[in-house]
Amino acid sequence: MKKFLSILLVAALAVTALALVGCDDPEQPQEGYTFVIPDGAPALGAVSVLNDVPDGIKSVEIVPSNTISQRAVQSDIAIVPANLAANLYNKGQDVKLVGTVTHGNLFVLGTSDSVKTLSDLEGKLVYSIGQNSVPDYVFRTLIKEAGLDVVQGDAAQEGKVTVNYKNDGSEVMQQLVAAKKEGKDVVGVLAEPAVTNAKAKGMVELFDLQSLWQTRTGADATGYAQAVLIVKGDVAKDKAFMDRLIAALEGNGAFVTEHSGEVAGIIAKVYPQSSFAAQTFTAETLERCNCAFTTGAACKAEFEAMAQAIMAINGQAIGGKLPDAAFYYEG
Amino acid sequence: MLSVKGLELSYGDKKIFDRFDLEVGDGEVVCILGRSGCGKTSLLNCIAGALAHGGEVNGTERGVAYLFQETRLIPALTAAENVRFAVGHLYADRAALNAEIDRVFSSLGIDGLQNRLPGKMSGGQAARVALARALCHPSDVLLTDEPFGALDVALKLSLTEYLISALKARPRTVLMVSHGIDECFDLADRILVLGGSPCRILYETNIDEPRGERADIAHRAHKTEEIKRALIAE
Amino acid sequence: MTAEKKKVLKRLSSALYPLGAAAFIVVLWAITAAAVGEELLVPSVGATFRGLWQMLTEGATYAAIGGTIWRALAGWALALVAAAVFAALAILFKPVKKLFAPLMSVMRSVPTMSVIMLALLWVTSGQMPLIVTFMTLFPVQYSAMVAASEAVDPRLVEMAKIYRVPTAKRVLKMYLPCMAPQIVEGVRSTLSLTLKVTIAAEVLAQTRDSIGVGMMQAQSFLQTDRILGWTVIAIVLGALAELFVTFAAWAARRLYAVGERA
Repeated sequence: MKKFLSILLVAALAVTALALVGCDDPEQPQEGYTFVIPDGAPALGAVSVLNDVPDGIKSVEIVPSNTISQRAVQSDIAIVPANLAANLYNKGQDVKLVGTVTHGNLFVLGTSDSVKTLSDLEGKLVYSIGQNSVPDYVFRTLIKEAGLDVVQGDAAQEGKVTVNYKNDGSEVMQQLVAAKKEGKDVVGVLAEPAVTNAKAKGMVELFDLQSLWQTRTGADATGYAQAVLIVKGDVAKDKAFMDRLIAALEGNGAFVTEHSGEVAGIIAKVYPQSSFAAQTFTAETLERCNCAFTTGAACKAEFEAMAQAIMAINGQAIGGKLPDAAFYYEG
Repeated sequence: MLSVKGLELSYGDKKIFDRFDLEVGDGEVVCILGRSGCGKTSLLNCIAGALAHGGEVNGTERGVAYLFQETRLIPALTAAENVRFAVGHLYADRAALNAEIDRVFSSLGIDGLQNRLPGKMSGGQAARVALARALCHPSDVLLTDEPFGALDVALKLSLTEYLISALKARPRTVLMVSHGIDECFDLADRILVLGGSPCRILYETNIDEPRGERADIAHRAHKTEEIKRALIAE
Repeated sequence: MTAEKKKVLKRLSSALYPLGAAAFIVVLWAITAAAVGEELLVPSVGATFRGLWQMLTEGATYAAIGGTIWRALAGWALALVAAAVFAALAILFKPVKKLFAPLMSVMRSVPTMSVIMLALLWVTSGQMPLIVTFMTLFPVQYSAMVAASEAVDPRLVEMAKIYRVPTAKRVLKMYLPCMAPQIVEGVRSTLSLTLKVTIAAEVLAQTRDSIGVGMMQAQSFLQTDRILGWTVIAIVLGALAELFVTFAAWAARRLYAVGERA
């Protein structure tokens, strides 16, 4: 009897496991590609697509940003942070980089205006978002190149820039508000639209990381590759579709500034839990979100600069090497 | 002298004691008989300070030694540790305490059991350790509640003998709740029968012959008859 | 077959059960990995152990393990000490116990996540996992101790009262030894919970030098093999901790036995 029960149990477990595995391969009743977008700033780079889905796309989904790596693997089209795109490619995924959808929305804010230049950050405590992602690498690259040392910790260290990572902008805000109340001079790295909210609470904008990056690279356009569009190899071969997709995304920059009042609603319709659901976007804020689509040579140069910067800090974030030429989509 | 004056105790609406008085002289052994539930154990617990009550109890300033129906030994402590646990704080000198423990243990025939855990003793040995614990108490007041009740007749008799010789060596003021009339005749200077509600003394008799010479007490049969009648009458 | 042989066989077969369970998990894992066929989602058994091997050659791994052990142990020990103090008060003074009862049931039902969220606001990321571990374990350990005290024979408690035994002695010589077996059992069962809570809090606090951040980093770097590698490490740590407590309990029993012979 015992033996019989244990065999039954093992069988039940095995069936469950197989069923779980099976769940990952849903049947595809409709023709078309799947498209996933992480919640947050990257979603602002695809509002025009969310508003008017191009033919050939079966589903568009906005997903929590911490699940985007798994979802990107399973989808045909995805918007992902720049480091993740390179990492997926270097890990053997058949993906191509089509373009950059957002070029950075990062700003350094302080509880006071005591910090005038990057070197004034020495001995300061900096609360930051996005550990091991683009915001982290941009900030650290600029700090390192200003000749400063970055360490991680809970309290400011003499002669260093001490970074304390938080999960999102609201946690950074809580620390800034608390520090301001206690009269402490601390600094935070925040992304729009949180920056606008922070300034409304009395924080001082110190640096625009996009223009500092532009000074660094000497590029024509402001900013850097933050969120990018990747597609699977067979999607890239579907030229007609690719042209439709690129055309739809190229309209995004103008679309968001013209329809600034509708942006939050369009995102919330696809993903009601979005962190932007209750946000009121103004045209100025959206301007500062840098969501103009770029592709081709400009995109490649911008992406390579970012990949090199990340490589200098932690190569593991992009899979240990710079992606080769086959990574870049050529229309 | 141990004295209880105007003792008041009730469980809910039921009055157990209502202005109850009792005196036990120094070195006197008083045995109490009575139906179960009449308040014998409650009387001991009031005197021992384990039960909140009204009225006055005098003569227990130095604490009381108490011999329970069960051994009540802490299973994780050895025999000597059990004794030290209960009475150690009453001795200023640890060496004196250990000497007293050794002396009492050997007088009870359990020398060598000092470092044994209760779980590894026979029932008789454990009962003697419990008796040793009470006898090591510096106070001369000893309360006992149907001690050795769970033991077989032979063991019980031998323990009563140990108690008698201990009282001979050092007289104590004893208040003992008992089940057996014979046991009372062996030990007591005075026998009380308690009963009624609230509880009062129904019968009282003195035994004047010295302990150990009581095989033929005058009027023993007559007194036994009277005790039985008092117990049944209620 | 001799009795001796039977005994050996019996012992061997009892060792086979955990091995069988482990083999079952590995087989299920291998089947799943093969069926998904995507190393980034479900890495193969081999890849995971290669990843784990690689991790074990890196200094950062040991810094993270050390940091997590320190935070888990500190939170656990603090909770144990605090629970012991509060439980002692509750056991000795009935009104205190009644006062604590609703407080503890509130603390027990507060979701770990809300403790984490609030701790994020109030304490630094280094302290946070320790605080959260403490907050989670304290009511559990308190309850275990109070429950153990309720298992102490009330007749012994009455005996101590009649003999007017001082409070400190009652705690040390009566309550503690009588409660010890149950406390050890309770403590052992909280150890694996400790690691789980500490690691979860480390992820959310982004505590440096921690298994939590190691897992998080592995996730952002698409190193799924390493997430599983960290998981294996956490499981091994939990098992070692339980083994340690079992050994401590055995040593304590042994000490009593030695005391008896002396």
